[in-house]
Amino acid sequence: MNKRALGDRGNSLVFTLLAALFSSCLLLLFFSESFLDSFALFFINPLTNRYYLGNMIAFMVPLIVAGLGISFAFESHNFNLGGEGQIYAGSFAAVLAALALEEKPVLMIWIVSFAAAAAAGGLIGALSGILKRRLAVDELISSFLVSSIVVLLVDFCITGPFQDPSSNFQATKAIPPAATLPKLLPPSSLSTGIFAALLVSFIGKFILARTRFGFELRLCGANKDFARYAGIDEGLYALVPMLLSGALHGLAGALMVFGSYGRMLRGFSSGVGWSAIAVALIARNNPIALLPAAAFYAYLDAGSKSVMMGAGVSPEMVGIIQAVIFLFITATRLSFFRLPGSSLRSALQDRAADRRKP
Amino acid sequence: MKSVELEDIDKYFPSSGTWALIQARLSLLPGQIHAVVGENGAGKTTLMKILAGLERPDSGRILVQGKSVKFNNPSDAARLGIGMVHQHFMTIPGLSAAENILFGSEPRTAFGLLDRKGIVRSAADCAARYGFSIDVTRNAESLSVGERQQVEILGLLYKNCDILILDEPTSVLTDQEIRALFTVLKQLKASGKTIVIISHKVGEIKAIADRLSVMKDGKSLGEFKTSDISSHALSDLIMGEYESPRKKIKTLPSGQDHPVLELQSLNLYGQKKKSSALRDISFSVNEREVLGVCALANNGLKEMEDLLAGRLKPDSGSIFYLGKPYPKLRKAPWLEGGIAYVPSDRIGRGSCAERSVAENIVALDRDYFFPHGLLDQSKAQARTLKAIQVLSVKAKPESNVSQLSGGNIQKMILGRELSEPPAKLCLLCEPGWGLDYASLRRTYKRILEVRNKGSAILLLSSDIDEVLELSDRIAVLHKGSLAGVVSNGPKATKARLGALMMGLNSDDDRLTPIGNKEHE
Repeated sequence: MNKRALGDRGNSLVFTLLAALFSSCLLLLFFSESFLDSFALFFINPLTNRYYLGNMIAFMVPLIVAGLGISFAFESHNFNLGGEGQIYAGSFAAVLAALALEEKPVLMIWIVSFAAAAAAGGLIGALSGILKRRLAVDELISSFLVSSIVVLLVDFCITGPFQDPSSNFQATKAIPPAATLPKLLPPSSLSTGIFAALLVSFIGKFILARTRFGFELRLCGANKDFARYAGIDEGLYALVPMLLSGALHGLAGALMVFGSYGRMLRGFSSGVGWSAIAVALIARNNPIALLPAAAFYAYLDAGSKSVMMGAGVSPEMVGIIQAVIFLFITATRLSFFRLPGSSLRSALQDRAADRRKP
Repeated sequence: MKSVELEDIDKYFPSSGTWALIQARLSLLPGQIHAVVGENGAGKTTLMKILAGLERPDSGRILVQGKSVKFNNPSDAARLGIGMVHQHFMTIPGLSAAENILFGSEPRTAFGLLDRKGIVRSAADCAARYGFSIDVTRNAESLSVGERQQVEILGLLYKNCDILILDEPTSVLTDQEIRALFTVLKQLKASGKTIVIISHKVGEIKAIADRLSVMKDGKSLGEFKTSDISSHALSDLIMGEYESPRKKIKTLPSGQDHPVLELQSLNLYGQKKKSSALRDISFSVNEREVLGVCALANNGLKEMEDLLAGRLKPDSGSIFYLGKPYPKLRKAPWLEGGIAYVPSDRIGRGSCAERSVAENIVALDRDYFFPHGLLDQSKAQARTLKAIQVLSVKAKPESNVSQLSGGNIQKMILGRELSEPPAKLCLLCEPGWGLDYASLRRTYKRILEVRNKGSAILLLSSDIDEVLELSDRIAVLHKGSLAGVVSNGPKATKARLGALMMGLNSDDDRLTPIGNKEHE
């Protein structure tokens, strides 16, 4: 990689982040009653207030783990847009396992629940991989559609057969309190799940950078034709990365339930899958860079929530701010970074070229 | 008509730490064909990219009509009538030839929409004015390589370029297409255009160029009138004397009756057409033998390569390697049961541009380089240096392949596939692609060394000279069928092979039966 390319990339990343911050300020200026108060609530409160700081770091957990799932898919040139459904199904499977094992030792509950979450997410991801391999169905479309169906199915379960009869919430029964992960900054929802997320990202980095599996995966992502030429079964890498990606999403969901929520609430993880894509794009699929990227994204998220609670900015406004941030991140990434395998745009161009081939 | 001067151009590439150009000079006279010649990596393409506004010089001046100019991008150069056709064509598949020619300056209707009829008319007018016989309504995908090149040239002519730079224009063309190109170039010259061709083929330069400049290691060695310099003197100037390796290396007798690769009545049907892409192909390649297969474009060479690369499946027939069914996934050439394969598509298939030279070698043998699943850096480094040395690639193991010149990429692939110990079977497709004489000589020598060590070599090439240079036997494909197999000897002349490739087959010149027994 030459210096100029690195410089360009650094500049445009700084530009992206500044633009996201600047546009948030601008919206606050126009729509909040007192700009200075809102500004303080947005930018400073998340760092000084124990509750917001804890929640912010807690939100990093699913962003890092699901972001790693996205990175595995993107690095191998697979497009997993089904994160939402995979997270949701993963957490549901984890809750079911935990409820079934209520009386058992905590360690066993953890192992079985997290395995169930990974399996549920992984199966959904693998489904798109299988469809791609067998029937040449575009995984970008199939993962998204399958995920939409899964979300509705899980919603049905939560509000129907598995709803907690003693509660008015649209939620399942709570998992055994002993099985929830220890809290770090009460009253915030931060738990020891953050250490699991850090561990997972370091393992992810190691796999991608050092192992044979990671090498083959990235090679298939960079140039499928060359990978085949080198004797790699590229069909395998349409399937396995999607499976892994789904499994990591499922795990992210389980960490949210065990770390923060303690039960499955309807729509509790809505939007996390999309946010994870933004985080992976900022981090350029680098598992270590996911940590600062997730921190930045969670910081903006915490800021907007703090403003919503403290300065009477409407939730819709906060939604718009987040959408603008997302737009900036994806738009600038797509126009500036044209590295094969790592950017959507070049990938979409490749896709168009592939289609035209006889 | 303009004169152009490049004076004392320096260009440093910090990424590879090399001076691509050192005080390079060039002067172009209007209405002449000027050749820029030199070895791979001599700086020819870089100098021309500077003239076309694609690269900026570190120092030096560009003078057009005696006035100093600065190009920040290709549009600046185009405004002064300078345009370049690249070695790798940039036609856009899915668009018609006309749309490609007018790309970026299409006529519009009153409502601002594309004027489709106008596009076709303007493109056809442009083609007719310069004597091109191309059907501009065809889709770019369906055009042959030569026609795509014409589209690119027409694109420049449409934008009123009067200085046309062609980067190795003949390297991808068949003999017929080269002749057609030269006719076109002469017509363009007659209409007052100035043409610069980058080349390292002495014969072509003598045939077409009025003047030439020689470059070596980024420096200009001088400018000559083509008529003032003999072919010998010119090739000496570029790389030293050329000698056919076949005359130098004593070839050992082929191992008859020891077939390494066997193709048995292979049939492959065409995509949409009723005709078949390959029809009833049977032959075998023996130990210590080079079998050259040559054909014109679109006659089945590409399909044969894809069959042996596992990218296409035959509709009937079978392929055997050492008596066993041909492997689905290729093993690295230096492994037991491995196959050396130099693909014709060196950028897309033979290398991964976004990865380092070392990774391009590591990729082939993951069992060896990833003991216990983890990369062994020292093994990778050692193997890479070995592969680079075979044909002295000008690159470091850690440099990105995308930074190498076309010839260097080809040398990297050849070095990797033909390093020690050689594979029992070598599938070489257009191995001489883009190589200068010195590298070509080393490559051919290496191929014959590998042959003498007992490998069976299947050479797929559209270059008759290359096939005659290397082969023990020569098979000719015409419209997907074997037009004949001849032993390489006095009887195998260029004219005879050319006739076979064109499908002309006279009775008194009856060919020997297809098979592997025949040897002189």
